Amino acid sequence: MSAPTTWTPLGLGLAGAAWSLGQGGSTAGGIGGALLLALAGAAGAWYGRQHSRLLQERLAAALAAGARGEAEERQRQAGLTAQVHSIEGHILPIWRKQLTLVGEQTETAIAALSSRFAGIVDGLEASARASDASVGGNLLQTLEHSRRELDALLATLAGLLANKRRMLEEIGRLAAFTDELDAMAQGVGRIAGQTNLLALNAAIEAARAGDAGRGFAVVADAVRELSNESAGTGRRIADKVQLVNEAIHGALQAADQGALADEQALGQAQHSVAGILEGFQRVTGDLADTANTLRRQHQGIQQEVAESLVSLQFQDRIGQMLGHVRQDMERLERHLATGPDHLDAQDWLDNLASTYTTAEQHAVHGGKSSQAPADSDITFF
Amino acid sequence: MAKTILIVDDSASLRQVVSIALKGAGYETLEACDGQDGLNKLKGQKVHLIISDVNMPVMDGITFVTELKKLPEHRFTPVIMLTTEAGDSMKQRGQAAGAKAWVVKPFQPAQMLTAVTKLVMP
Repeated sequence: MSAPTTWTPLGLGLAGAAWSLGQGGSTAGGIGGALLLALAGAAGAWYGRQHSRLLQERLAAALAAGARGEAEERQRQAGLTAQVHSIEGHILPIWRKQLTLVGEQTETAIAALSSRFAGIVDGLEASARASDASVGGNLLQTLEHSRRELDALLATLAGLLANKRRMLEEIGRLAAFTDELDAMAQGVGRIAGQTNLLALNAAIEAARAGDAGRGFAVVADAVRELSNESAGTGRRIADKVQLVNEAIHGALQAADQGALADEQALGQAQHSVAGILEGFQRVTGDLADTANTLRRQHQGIQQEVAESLVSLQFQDRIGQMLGHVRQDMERLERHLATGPDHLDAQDWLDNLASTYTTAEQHAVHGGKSSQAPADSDITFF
Repeated sequence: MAKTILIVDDSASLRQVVSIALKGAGYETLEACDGQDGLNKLKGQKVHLIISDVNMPVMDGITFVTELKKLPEHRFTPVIMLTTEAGDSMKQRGQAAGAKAWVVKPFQPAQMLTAVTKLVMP
């Protein structure tokens, strides 16, 4: 407070005392009033002086405090600037590098996983093809081919037996011819006997005729000798026919026994072949069932593979999301490097949102809970 | 003879996944890590179909398709874009560049094979 203001109460008190003396004269009341006014003025002056000094001290203290605050504010601003530069120069690059490292390592790991997965899928496909070819394809074809070959072999054997049977029938008919030959040989014997009897009668008649019949007797002797030879030949023919007949019957008997054995062998062969084929049929049936089981399992595995291929695509989406965050950190670095001027949060976020490619990024940005990726969508142009 | 499909994507794991799906259906595959690498791989190489990502470093998928259509030997090779981008404006850009189909990741192998069977060159 200024000096005139400090002394104003004293002046007013003295002026009031003088006015009181003027009004009251030298009376005790006038003098008392003047003294009271003068004392009041002096007290006012003293109080004003004290108050003024106090205000000055407070003002000085306030000025000193202001100076200290300004320095502190400058220091705080400097500290903030240093912190911003520290974030921009040190922390943000580290964050960005860490994000890059995560992205790279995840990509490498998923690529290796995908590669191994591809190897497993290739192996399964190869096994399925091999199983299908051996069980469902080649083996069944081989067995079917074998069955046809065995049937053809049995048919050939049956044909051979039929030929043999026809040959024996022909031999049987030949035996009938030998009987006829035997009868003819018997006929020759009878003719020889009658001729011999005739020659004997001729010799008797020649003897009765005497000398005239002597020449005829010679002829009769010759005829008798011939008939005897014919009878001998007829017997020999009959003997030979009998031998041939016995040989043929022996051969037919042996052939009949052989044919029976052949029939039994053929029947046994057919039975064995049928048994073998039936066994093969069971085996191939089991193999076909196994092949069908493998085929169903293969289809199940293919379905699992398809689902896994969808899941394996998560790395691509994560990589893109990390990339957007990384790019935004780079943008923040560039912004801070140019100086910590005003940053409009809404503009910044709008810019960030414009880089999103997936629906779930927009959802999370808009404050919604994170969503699973939407089903695939195909558009043909 | 198996038909050949070029897969263009900057994600090695995604290329592997697409390759597994295609090889399982009897196709042969080639791989490229971005659009420029894809153009290099196509030099002197006959392919029956191309599957390309959109967002890639060096050369993005839209530019790749645009440049592909300038090559006389590959201008009629069908292209399927395979991307996380599901916006209509991006699809329109792909269509304008010359792509034949747009598949949004993650894809179902059966659906992808349907698109491939429909578009692959004879």
